[in-house]
Amino acid sequence: MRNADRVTAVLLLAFSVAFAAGALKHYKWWGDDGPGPAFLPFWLGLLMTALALALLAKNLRRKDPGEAWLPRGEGLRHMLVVLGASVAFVALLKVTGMVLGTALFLAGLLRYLGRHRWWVCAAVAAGAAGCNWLVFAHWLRLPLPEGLLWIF
Amino acid sequence: MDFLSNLALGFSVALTPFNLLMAVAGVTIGILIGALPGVGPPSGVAMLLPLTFGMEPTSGIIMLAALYAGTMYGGTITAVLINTPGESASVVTCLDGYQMALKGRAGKALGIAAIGSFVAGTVGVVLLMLVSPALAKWSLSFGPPETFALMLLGLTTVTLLTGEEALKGYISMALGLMLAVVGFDIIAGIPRYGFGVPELMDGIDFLPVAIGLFGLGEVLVGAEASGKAQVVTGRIRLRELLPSLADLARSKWAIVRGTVLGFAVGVLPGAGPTVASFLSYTVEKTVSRRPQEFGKGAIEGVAAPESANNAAATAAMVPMLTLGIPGSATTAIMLGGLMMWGLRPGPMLFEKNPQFVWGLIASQYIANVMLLVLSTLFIPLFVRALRIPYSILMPLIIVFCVTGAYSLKNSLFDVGTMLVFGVAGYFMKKLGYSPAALVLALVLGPLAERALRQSLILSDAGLGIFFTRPIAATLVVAALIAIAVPAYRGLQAALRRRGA
Amino acid sequence: MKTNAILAACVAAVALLGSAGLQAQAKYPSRTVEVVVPYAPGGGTDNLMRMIAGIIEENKWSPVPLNVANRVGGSGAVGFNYLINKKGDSHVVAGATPMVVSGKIEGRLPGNHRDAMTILMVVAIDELMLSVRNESPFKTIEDFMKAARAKPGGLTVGGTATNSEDHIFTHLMEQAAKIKVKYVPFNSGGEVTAALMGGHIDAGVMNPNEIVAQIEAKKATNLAVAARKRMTDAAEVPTFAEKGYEFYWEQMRGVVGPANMAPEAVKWWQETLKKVTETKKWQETYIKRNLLTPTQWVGEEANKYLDSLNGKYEAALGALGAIKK
Repeated sequence: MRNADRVTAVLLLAFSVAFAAGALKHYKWWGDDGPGPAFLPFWLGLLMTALALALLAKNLRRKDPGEAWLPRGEGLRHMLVVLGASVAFVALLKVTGMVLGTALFLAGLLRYLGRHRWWVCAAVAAGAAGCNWLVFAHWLRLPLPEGLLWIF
Repeated sequence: MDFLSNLALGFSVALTPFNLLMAVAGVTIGILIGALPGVGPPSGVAMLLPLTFGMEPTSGIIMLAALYAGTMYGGTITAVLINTPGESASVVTCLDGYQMALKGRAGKALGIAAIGSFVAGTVGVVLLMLVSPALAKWSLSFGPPETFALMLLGLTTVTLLTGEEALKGYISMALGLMLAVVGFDIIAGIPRYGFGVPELMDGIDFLPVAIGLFGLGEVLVGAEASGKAQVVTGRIRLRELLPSLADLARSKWAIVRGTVLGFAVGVLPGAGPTVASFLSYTVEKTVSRRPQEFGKGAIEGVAAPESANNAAATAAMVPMLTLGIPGSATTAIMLGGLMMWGLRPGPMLFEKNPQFVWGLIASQYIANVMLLVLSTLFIPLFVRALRIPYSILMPLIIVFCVTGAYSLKNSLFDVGTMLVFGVAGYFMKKLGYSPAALVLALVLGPLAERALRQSLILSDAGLGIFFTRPIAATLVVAALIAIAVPAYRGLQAALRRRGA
Repeated sequence: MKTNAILAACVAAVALLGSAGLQAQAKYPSRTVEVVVPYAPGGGTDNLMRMIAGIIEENKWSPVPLNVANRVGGSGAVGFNYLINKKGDSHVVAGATPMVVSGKIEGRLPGNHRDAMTILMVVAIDELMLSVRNESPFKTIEDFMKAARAKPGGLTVGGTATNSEDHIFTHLMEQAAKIKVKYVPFNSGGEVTAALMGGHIDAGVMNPNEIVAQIEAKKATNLAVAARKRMTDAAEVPTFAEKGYEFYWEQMRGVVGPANMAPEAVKWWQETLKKVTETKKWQETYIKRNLLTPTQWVGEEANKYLDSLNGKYEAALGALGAIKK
């Protein structure tokens, strides 16, 4: 945790300095009748700089490394698979469309995570994708993302 | 004015079988729609508005009002069960509601939310009926300086939302405020930190952020522990499904305070149920004798904000009906509906269409009773959803988060935002930051900045405007005390440590 | 038996083909039409498009459903960009605001009504007025102007957003009356009304429907309207021009499609919108309630009107410094 906090503090420091500098560089400090668009962002950048420095100071002084916070082994793999699948699901929405995409995502992840029988996976996936379509596209008439080959 | 005869008139209008049916339909659809993340009260009401056009105006508004009450409750369900706020006013309910669910007390959390909503809704209608004109005046006295002072006070309470490390709480808040700056600056008329992305022009919508931080973030943490199942297992006994008398006794003052605060905030233009729910949570934590239990499944932490958001939803109708000024996005849509029926909300509405106004008020009582009955009936059903194995539930929650973020504005960009903040939520949770503080800052930030700059335009950049107006001055002083006291205590403690 | 079945199949196939062919050549709309609202639910454009879609569905003038979808973002930029990208697709239309003109000038849209969109009809003109609450010391527009001249920059005028129609209104008024006021931008018309009625600003720039409830209750007064002639439903309000402050400014509302829309689609929308704007419901509950000036401008007439707006926007936005060089 200590090292993570140090890294976070440095990242926040860089971010806040860039944020405040960006405000001054791109926007007006004072408008026609009052504070301009740069006013608040600048002070916020400064506030965050102070907070990040405090965090850094606190953790530089700290001796004990704290407990490990990142998962290892299977835990980490699970987390990364779930995250990766979610990102792929969203990234491919424009190709697969919402309905087919949902079904594929669910079927894949269910099979990986739960090692359920394939028909359980298929049933849940198809059912949920169907509900999704029924509720959002059919009843609420939302324009769900359409796929390349899927008419929905 | 003879309230009783007016109320009798109202009930005679509202209690026709058709209107009762509309109230039931409104509450039921509302609960279901509210439970879909993304489709919150404003879009729910907007989508169902056309359905009501064929009806009498009274039936139509009864249905919409019932729907509004239903959506306010529906958002709670997913917040409690899967840590994913169904709509913005339920974000703060995640904090203790989900913790209760993890401890097998989901039914109690949903139950107390229903009871709190019922009490708040009913009291809200009584206030709406009796003191609307006075309240309308009070709401008008809130100009930009008062709004800023209120937002400032709201932000100072952020310390109360933080976890163990106060410093990380402040960092979370500052991050939220920085994100709040992104988007179109309406005062200067230019986009800030938009990088030319049109979707960023309107700023970062906080619902996808909240869905990501809470919903997806929780799923990622859960994925890591999968196998060692997270959510309730085993049978839940029936009496565990509803709050016990002890729970009620513990929450009663939370409900009262939440109702009063929620109503007061809800009347103000622009603030709305979300701000009300956050404020009431922090107030409750301040006055509680068990502040350490908050965030770990304290039932008051659910009761107070849930009462507050329903009271605020009712209160938002005060400026709409008496002034013709919408207090929130949802009431703006209802206002549009009223005009399409040929009614003109405003100071004359009570005189010109008493039947309509009193019918609406009476139907609000009915909607609240319906809400209590229906939600109690639904609770066992919803809680049962938690018995689905986590390995099946988890992918479903992700789909839920994705569809929810999308349906808010029909935008894939929001889905991306949700994903990014899902990852951020994972790290924040792991490293002890406070997602709730970030979300609160993101909600209050734009309101606060706008009000601050409007005030300074009005005062020619003089700060006196915040101290010469009584309401603003009171709120600003309260905010300063809220900043000074913990700072002083912290300093004292540090000095003592040095001395020792 | 067998030949019969084949014969039947052939007949069915021909019938199917025939109907499909018929559909392809003349029928518009042939699938669900998406009605884009580039703004949030509850706003003026949302109300307008839901009203139009409601009237069309009520009278069953469309064989297909009309699907109203709010595509919100960038103060309209997201929705209009979506429409512009649907070039040639006849089954998407959107609620038009002056942004179809000003978006290109400000560099927020790649094109305007001429080069990237097809204007289907300008359905109404929303006037803009200067209003005060009744506790105000200003009873007439002359009172207001006198006070503004006596104390340049001393009076506050509230309106919705910056570089917006309300802001341009204030700018044009300052020019015409040779005064200087302090413009205070708010987030929505409702917030301006609230600030005005609470006495936090001296005057507000209002669309008639934003203030009419207060006028009826005798709590507010409209000082003047920036129209060419007085409004039919509020004839007591003088125009700025007749009081000697000559400027005209207004907001248009309409329906717009993407570029290269099929001619039969344009025709269908023009005819249908004409029917819509002639219904009693439209005139009573939309036009009259919102105190709008009804129009039915289509084709070149609508385009010419928008061209005239284009020049005004260029000048005003240039003066306000909203055009990037």
